[in-house]
Amino acid sequence: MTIVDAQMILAADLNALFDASGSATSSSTLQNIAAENQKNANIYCLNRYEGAVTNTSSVSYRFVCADDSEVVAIGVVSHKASAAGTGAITVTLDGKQANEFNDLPTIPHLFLADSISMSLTTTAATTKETARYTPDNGTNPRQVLLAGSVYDLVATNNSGATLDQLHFFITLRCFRSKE
Amino acid sequence: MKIGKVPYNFFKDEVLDPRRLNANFKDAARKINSTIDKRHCHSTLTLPFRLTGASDSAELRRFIIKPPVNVDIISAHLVGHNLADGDEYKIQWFVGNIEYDGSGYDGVAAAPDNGPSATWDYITMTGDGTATQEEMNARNLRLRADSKYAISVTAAADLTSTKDLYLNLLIRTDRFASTPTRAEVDGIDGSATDSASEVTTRRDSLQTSRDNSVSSSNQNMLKAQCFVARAVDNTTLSNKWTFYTSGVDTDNDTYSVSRLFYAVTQAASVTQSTVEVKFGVSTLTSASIVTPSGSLEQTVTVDESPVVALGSASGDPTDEAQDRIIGIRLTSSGTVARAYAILWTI
Repeated sequence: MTIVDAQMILAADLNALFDASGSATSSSTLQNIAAENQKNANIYCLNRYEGAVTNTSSVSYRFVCADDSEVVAIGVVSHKASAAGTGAITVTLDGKQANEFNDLPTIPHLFLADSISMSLTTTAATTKETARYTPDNGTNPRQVLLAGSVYDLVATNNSGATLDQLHFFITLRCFRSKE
Repeated sequence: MKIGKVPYNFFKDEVLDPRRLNANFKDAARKINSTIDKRHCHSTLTLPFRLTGASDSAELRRFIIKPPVNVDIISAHLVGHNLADGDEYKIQWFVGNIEYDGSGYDGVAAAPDNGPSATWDYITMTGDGTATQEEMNARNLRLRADSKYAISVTAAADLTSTKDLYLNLLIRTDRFASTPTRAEVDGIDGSATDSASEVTTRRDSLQTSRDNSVSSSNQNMLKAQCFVARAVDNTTLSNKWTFYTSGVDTDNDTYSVSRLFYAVTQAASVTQSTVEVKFGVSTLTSASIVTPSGSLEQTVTVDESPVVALGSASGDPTDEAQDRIIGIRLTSSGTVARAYAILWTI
């Protein structure tokens, strides 16, 4: 059985909907529906702001990943109140076996190839200084965080001076879900 | 994630077999509907209780949340650092009067759906002396658009920079402004007099469903962030009390800021102050509120919707120059006890 008059339809018309156009960047074919869905996936930022942070002290921020997510960026911003010290502020992201939950079973362990570490070397007083970690395919590997896993983002001030302000954040790209 | 391969390709001047055609139509419909079904996105709103005193007024121990769209809270994650053994910290949904304006209360905090209708204990944590401890509450709550909700903490001891407590709310939102029509999953008959028209109609219908499933206008995914400052003075805005959040992906061309909701809690000793809140990308756009005079601690909240100055389509989370900035300070002498901003973005 055939659709006799359907041959009047150009195959290209159908292929424009399906996936045989050969164009990987076409925005109209089904070929790219997954890619477009992923492109417009949810990007959000988890942040931690601190006021004064003395030298050698750390600030930690623990979070449970809401969805399977990819690390887009980690940022740190500092304002240094005094001129003393030109050391580094380090920020690390590490997975955590969260067995501290008092009444809950142990949360599955992280999937993180390596802990992420970055640093901001302070140079001057009373100025805003920033640093950014952006994963790539080279020295900064791409990292995937798993839904339900627990992660610690920790900033340590080794600048040699008290910071007037420390602000760090992690930006995640998570994918949509049915639930 | 599925890739849009279909069972059959077609060639020019080919006589179309309806079985192959229908196999493609059905496969396409499944992929489109799979994308439409992935309608939820999650984000985390962190409410920090750092520097909250055990004897602080209710105003200083409370966050007021006003979501611009309906959101579900799917769970809450409470994290404590270095809490003394035996000390109890109670997180509550507060239902009642909020926002004292100097002469009386002019705002009421509502009760979240699916929970008690009066003030209720949400999560309680008893310190155990460890460096980090956690509690969770997986109760699903719904916050309605444009209603105000309040979360407060009752602390057994002062919270400091090291004896710390913060609440992570896992928020789920629906990305669709309206429910899109699912793709037709049946095949075509193929016996109609004008089969070509039937094929074209189905093809166009699938194309419409497909476009709708990934339409940028349907990227209505709400995220929230909270920024808090204590003892805000009139230090130059560029140096202090400024908050940074990364830009949003350039691929999402519908990025905009839905609402900036900020609140100021004035200390009893301050009778009147001008609070300046600035926000923007690189350059701060000015806005300001004046807190009312009075002798009591009081909270004033302000909505900015939409906040056009904060967002642009060129946001790039990896580019520091595209960071969003919020600044809060006083333009007069004195000190505001606490100021916070909750930034809702799409």
